[in-house]
Amino acid sequence: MTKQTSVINVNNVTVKYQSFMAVKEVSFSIKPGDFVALIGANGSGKTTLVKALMGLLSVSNGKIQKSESLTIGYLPQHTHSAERNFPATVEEVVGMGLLGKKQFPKRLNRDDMAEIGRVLDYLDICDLRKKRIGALSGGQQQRVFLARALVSDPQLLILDEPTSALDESMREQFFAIMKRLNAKGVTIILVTHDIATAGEYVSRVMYMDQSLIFDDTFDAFCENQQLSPFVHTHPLKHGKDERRDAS
Amino acid sequence: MSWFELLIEAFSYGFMQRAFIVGIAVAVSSSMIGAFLVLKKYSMVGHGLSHVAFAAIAIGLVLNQSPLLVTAPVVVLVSIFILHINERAKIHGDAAIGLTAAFSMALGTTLASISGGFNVDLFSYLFGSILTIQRIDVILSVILSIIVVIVVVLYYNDFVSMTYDESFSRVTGVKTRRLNTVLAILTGLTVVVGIRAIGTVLISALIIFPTITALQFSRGFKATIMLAVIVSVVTVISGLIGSFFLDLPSGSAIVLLNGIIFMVVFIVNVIIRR
Repeated sequence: MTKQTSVINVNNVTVKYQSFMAVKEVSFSIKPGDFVALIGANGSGKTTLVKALMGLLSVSNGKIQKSESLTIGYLPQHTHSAERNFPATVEEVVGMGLLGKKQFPKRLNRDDMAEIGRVLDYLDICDLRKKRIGALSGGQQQRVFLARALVSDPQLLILDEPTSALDESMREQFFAIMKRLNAKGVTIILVTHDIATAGEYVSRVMYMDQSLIFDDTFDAFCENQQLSPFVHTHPLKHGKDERRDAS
Repeated sequence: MSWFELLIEAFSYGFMQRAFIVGIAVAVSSSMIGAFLVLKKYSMVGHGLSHVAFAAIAIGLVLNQSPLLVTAPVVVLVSIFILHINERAKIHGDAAIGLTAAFSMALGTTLASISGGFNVDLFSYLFGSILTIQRIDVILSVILSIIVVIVVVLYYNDFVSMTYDESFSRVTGVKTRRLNTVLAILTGLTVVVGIRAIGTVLISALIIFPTITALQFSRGFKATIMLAVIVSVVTVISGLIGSFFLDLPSGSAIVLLNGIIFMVVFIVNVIIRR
């Protein structure tokens, strides 16, 4: 894989928190159009790795190469449901996703408002536009945060545990949206525990436990005997079999 | 004599005109900055800095310098210090504020003690006094307040985004570290602006009260800030007038009024939601 054809090249990257090594000597490349599920147990370094990819954390060793012009949409772990008193409306929250494209003093104009309307319409949440973000349900908030990540029309979408607060039907809806976006050419990195649902949609599974242990297709992951501890704690075989039985 | 004639008479005094200008300046800047501080859970920064301001005033009086000129750089520097000690050292933000406030208060009272008391009334700096506001205070307050308003207006969207979700803001290219430093500087300036009219002990209340009152109605971030500014200006003007007629410390009158308005709005809101 050459540097020019990759969205991101990660070369022997290590990330430390003081003396604790969260990510150890990880190397991989993400190609345009990839839909990657990044999985692993709690504390395996998944969130640390994606934060390093976005420049939120410095790497202790190694190199992350990405194009200067690469636009990233980010859906952080769902942490804002407790902020019920925050006064911003859905429109204001989604507008935050456009600030990366704006020049100082970063005023949103009529075209930006139209863009916000377009993405709300795409996610079928137009009716929430003037609602206060804190007044929405967890599922609605998650769609708003997805809209905020999508409104800048990113080439790469990074989602950190996006379905953890959603029920099963909403998870299915969420992944259906991801599939549509991926079909339109958006590259997606999805940090998830829900490999049972995600496995059906992703093109690639990366399993990490500080270092990158597995990087292949979902089917190859299911057949890998060495990953049995993760298989037992996360019922991906069961989920996969159920889906196969249903079909 | 009617109320209107009494008001005309009140504003015919030079000290009242100066208090009015300084009061509006502090009302606008404190409520604009207050929205970000309260929602970032930095409300107590203002309280800590007000104690630092007290120590800086004591230093200024010992050195026989204008207290505001000494206080502005000291408070701004300590504000940045509190921010960075919170980010880098193994000290939680509330602990950093607590230790800074206590140390500053001890320093201020020690200076007051060893200098055998000051020629000016230290009480007026603690609780605000409209009688002591000088022309230089008016000029400094207005300039500092204009700086606060201009910076908040220019960086408004970045401030809102950072206040809501700092990680996401950084991904979109917002320079959050720089912006946090700017916020710390503006907070320091706001505390300094409020010293004369509100007093060091009570200025933090004017940072917090208008915002939490406005949050009871919140329909959007911009609307919340605008409402907080209106609440702040109205209570400051009313408090100053009350202070004049009832011979109360201006800071106490303004903060009491804010507290009463908040309680009424809060209770009405609870009843309506039922």
